[in-house]
Amino acid sequence: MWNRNNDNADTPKDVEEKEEELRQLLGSLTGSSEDPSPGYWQNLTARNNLRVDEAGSGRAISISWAARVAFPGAIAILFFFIGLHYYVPRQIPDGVSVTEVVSGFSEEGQDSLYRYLLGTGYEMTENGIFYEDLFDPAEEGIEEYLISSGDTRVLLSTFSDEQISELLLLLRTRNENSRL
Amino acid sequence: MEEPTDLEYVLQVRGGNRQAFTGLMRRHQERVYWIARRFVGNHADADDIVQETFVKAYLGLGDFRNDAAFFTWLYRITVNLSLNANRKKQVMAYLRESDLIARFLPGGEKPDDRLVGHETEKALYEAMTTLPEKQRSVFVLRFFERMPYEEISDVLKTSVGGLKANYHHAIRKIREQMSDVEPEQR
Repeated sequence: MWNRNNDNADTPKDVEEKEEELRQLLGSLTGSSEDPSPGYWQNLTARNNLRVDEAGSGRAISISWAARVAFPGAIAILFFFIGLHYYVPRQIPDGVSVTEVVSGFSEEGQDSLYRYLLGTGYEMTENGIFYEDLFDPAEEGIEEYLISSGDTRVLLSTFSDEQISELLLLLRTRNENSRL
Repeated sequence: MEEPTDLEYVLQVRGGNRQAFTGLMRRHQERVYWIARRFVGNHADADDIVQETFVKAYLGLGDFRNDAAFFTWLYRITVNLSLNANRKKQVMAYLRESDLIARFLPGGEKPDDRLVGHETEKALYEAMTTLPEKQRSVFVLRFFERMPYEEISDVLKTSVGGLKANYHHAIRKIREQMSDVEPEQR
């Protein structure tokens, strides 16, 4: 299977020579300090078996998962919709604004609510409490959080192959642009 | 008794004989390891890739077509995982260079700090990292594994002509970059 075929017949001479030179140069590489010991291969088979069994048992788990989680989940969703069907929302009388409700508070209550809203960046409007940036944190904030929250390797491991390739391309381009 | 062929093992695994997969692993794990090792340049990453390769192969055995050679399919998984591991490393290297990451990562760690051993080996690995992915792939499979172009073509899904051109470029570039390296004795 691994015998070299005579498929390098059209290999240019200089490439053949360079290949040979390279082989001679590397000929002294018979092993490195990091090379696996003979026992490694036996151990590797055992570890591979373990990993394969763990991964394979994922299928079995998925069946029991269906029984333990998916079925009760489906029942819960069913009950939720039944509940929703019979739910009658409490009517809020028309014309009552948040301001009116708040004005019904005691003075101390109004002050403490106002101070709290000022401190947190909320804004009280006629239609309710408004907070523009609640789900829109700054991009650097997300980046910094993700990086500071753990090893970047962990972060990268959550990326798909396509995302990694895209990111690499982006970084390369940025790197080249910054050099110009 | 004669050892079953790869295809016989595959059919046995599909028939529910999990033990047959151990036979496939024993047969191919060493070569899978060395392919991965040539790509990533260190033992720890190569070890991870071997395990990941067999897990992927086991779970994806249903997708394997019986008319293809099992080892080319297996080595394709290895090459893809290795390339992906390298991409992640490159991303890490770029990120380390950026100011943002420098603020958060402990200093002193460089991408290739884990590469140990012989100077010639280091020089070779460094030269290899400068090659585009396709050239590096064909270089590993041809130069180290001595695979025929037809088999490499199955693994990398590329034409034989393209592979030859890539191999020639790879050899030239590596030889050029290693022109100052003298053979060393261990």
